[in-house]
Amino acid sequence: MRLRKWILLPVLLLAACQPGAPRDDGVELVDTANVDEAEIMSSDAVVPVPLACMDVDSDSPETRTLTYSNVITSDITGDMSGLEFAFRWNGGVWEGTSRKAAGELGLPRPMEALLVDSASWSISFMIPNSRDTSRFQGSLSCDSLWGTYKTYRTSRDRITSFRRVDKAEN
Amino acid sequence: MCEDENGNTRPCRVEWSDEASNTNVTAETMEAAQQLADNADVDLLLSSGRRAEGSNCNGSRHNCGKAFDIKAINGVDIGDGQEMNPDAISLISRVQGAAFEMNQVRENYGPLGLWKAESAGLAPNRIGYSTRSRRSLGLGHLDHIHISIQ
Repeated sequence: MRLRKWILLPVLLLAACQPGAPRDDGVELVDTANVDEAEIMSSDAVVPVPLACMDVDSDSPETRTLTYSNVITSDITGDMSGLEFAFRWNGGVWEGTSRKAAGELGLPRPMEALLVDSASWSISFMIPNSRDTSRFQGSLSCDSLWGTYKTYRTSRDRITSFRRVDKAEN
Repeated sequence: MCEDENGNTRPCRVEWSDEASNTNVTAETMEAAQQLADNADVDLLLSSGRRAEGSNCNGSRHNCGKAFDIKAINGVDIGDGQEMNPDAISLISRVQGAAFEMNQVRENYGPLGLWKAESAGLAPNRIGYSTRSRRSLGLGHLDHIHISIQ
């Protein structure tokens, strides 16, 4: 009986991953072998689009901005520590800022080389600091931002996540 | 004493970052910051000072103007995003070491350790990371140094 499970499991997994197979998350995989090149070139993958949770029709910049944070506040000193990132959908273009908390939350600094792939929702950006440049590469969703963050040239890459917060934490 | 670009000695500087929302700490606190810079022979950039008006220190010594946070030493970031800057270790060691020797310092929390002196003249005690609260205190002071006075 146990042997049959081990034989059946890979077969079931393979079947579930076949192109065109319905998935629980409602996304249908496309068999790219049957899609002509022109269709691929005009797909949404190459055109920036906002995340579904952004109200892009709003006049308010706040509703077109998603903010992610790992800032913690010490219950002993009251000091804030961590980072906060904000991404704004502005006229078809993504813009990003970063705020560092070293005691209290600092001023927003613009990100550099911000790239958002709206097909896979992968994201990368750089943040210049006093003598170095921090680099992030990871993924973006309506709930969180996660990936690899290299803070300093001499520091190790570390996997980190930032939770979505409603607005900038002051 | 500190040195300028040409190697000439000059007084060490204590400056506020333009991100600090309220720099109105007590005169004794500013004196302690200057003494700390002089004793460690470094320039200090402060990122946070007073957080409330009045003389009540409940909740944090920032609330009564008796604390400041250091974000950079000699222009080198102490850390970023709950991570210490590896290039700043020797500078952090100088500053936290100098603070350890100062009688008026009460809290000396930074990437290299947590020390607290319950009252003036008493030797500072090292705070371990044995409880969740203390680990959180340590994690929250990897990207800056918190100094408060008695």
